[in-house]
Amino acid sequence: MLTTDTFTLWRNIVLGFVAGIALLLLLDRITNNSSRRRLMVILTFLGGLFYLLEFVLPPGTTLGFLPAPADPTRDNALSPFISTIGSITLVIAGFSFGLGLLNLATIHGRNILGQRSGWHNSLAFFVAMILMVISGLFRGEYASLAALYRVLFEGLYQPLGASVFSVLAFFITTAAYRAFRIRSGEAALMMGAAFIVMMAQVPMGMMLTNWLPETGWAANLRIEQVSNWLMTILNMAALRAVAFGIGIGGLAMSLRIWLSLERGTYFGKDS
Amino acid sequence: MPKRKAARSRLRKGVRSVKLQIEHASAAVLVLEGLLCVVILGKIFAARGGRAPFIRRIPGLAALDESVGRATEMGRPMLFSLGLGGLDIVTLQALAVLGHVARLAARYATRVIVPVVDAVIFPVTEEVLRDAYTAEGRPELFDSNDVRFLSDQQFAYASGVMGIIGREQVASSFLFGSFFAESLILAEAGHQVGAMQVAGTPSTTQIPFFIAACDYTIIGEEYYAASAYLTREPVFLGSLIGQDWGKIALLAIIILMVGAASVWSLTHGGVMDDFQSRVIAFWQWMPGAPAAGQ
Repeated sequence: MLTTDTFTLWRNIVLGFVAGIALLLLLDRITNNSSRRRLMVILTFLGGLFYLLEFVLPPGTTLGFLPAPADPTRDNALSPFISTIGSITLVIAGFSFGLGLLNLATIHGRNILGQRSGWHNSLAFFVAMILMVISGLFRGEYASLAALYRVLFEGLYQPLGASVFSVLAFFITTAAYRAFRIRSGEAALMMGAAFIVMMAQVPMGMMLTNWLPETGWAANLRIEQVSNWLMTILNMAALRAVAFGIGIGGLAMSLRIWLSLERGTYFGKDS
Repeated sequence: MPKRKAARSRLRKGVRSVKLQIEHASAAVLVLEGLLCVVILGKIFAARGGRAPFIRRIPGLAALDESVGRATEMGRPMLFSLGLGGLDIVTLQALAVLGHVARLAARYATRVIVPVVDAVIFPVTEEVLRDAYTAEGRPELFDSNDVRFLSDQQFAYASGVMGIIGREQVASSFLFGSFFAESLILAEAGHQVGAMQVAGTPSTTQIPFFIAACDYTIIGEEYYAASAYLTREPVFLGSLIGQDWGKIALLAIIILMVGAASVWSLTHGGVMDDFQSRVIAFWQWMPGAPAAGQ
């Protein structure tokens, strides 16, 4: 039975949807390409400015026209709006998901209708999708659908994902076999380090240096200690160096996008 | 136990890496980030009016043209994976590379298949591809079915991409974006069909797998240098120079702190706990925030 709360919720959803479509159509009518681009630049800047201000303003900062934060030791005046804006992003993503579903249905539908090679896989896609959607939506109301959902998710989907993941074990072996070729001094060094690190992971490898004392300077030569040193000192330094470069590269790209300096057709500027 | 050994023992036990919990910018972070932004923006605007700076050759990016040419000669399609990220800067950078590859593909009438994992980037990807073909004057070659939303689940996406690679027998495979455990699955699938593979990711944990399985791998900041390398736009080149100056600034800070830590260690018998707490307090200090313990 439709309660007042449910009716209000759906009314607001429909009204919001209609208002959104109307606003987009209005913008499409009254703006041309250059004003649309300008509008996108302004909206991008404002969006980025919000997150920048939320990050740089110290906790407890109040802005006169906004309510004070609930926890001034942790949040500033803009912090409560983070979740609201995050929800808006989720709504947009929800609409986009429909596009993805449409694309899947189009491609697989075409396979079935055209009886192309492997069309039975496309049929399996539709059957699985319909069963999953129905059982997922109504499993709360019907025990049989809850059981079906469990079979599909825990009995089928999760083991399938685990199976694909387990293929990695063989792929790592074949890739390592191809890649670990000692053609130079650096390759020999890498092979030696890889050997030490791999052997330190297994009891049989640790047995190789078990005879060394556990204390004293000689303990540093035990294979697990050498492996730990390689991973925490040498490897970590290199990883952090790469991370610095990535971080600054990300900062630069973010700046370019925020200030609309980026080039590319999807930014409205041809490269 | 001698004093120095005791100090070293305390050093090993007491000093550990501590993750700074920063939800808002502290004063030090604000100054540092502000400095980096000023440097990057300054170099961007300076590059607009000046001479194009030199960029060293990046083999992975130089191989993009070669890969497209290989696919064209073999008459087989290419595959371009944007990784598992959503509409973030990593994926946007991958889209920039896709735009370049797509324009080459349009020029040589070679098909490029782009499986996507996030429905939000699906329309963006379609637009990038369509615009690339239109820019090359070959809009009729664009096939919207070549942009496929597979799944937003990691291994379902990986399975789908493996299937596409195997069925289409792609000649070239491009893996650009955020990758996780499925990286080696995709790379090995491409290797099994004999595809030439170029990978680029800022995901440091996946770089070893790509290096082992792909022909060319773009790592670290080379990933974000792709736009500058491929387009030679002054904005991108200036940004790259700004990034390099930023790294020099960070290096100077690291050397300064290493020196300070070394001096402290020598003058305090190797006991670093107080030094570490002072450094953390410095980096986390915010104006107006209560002092520790209040």
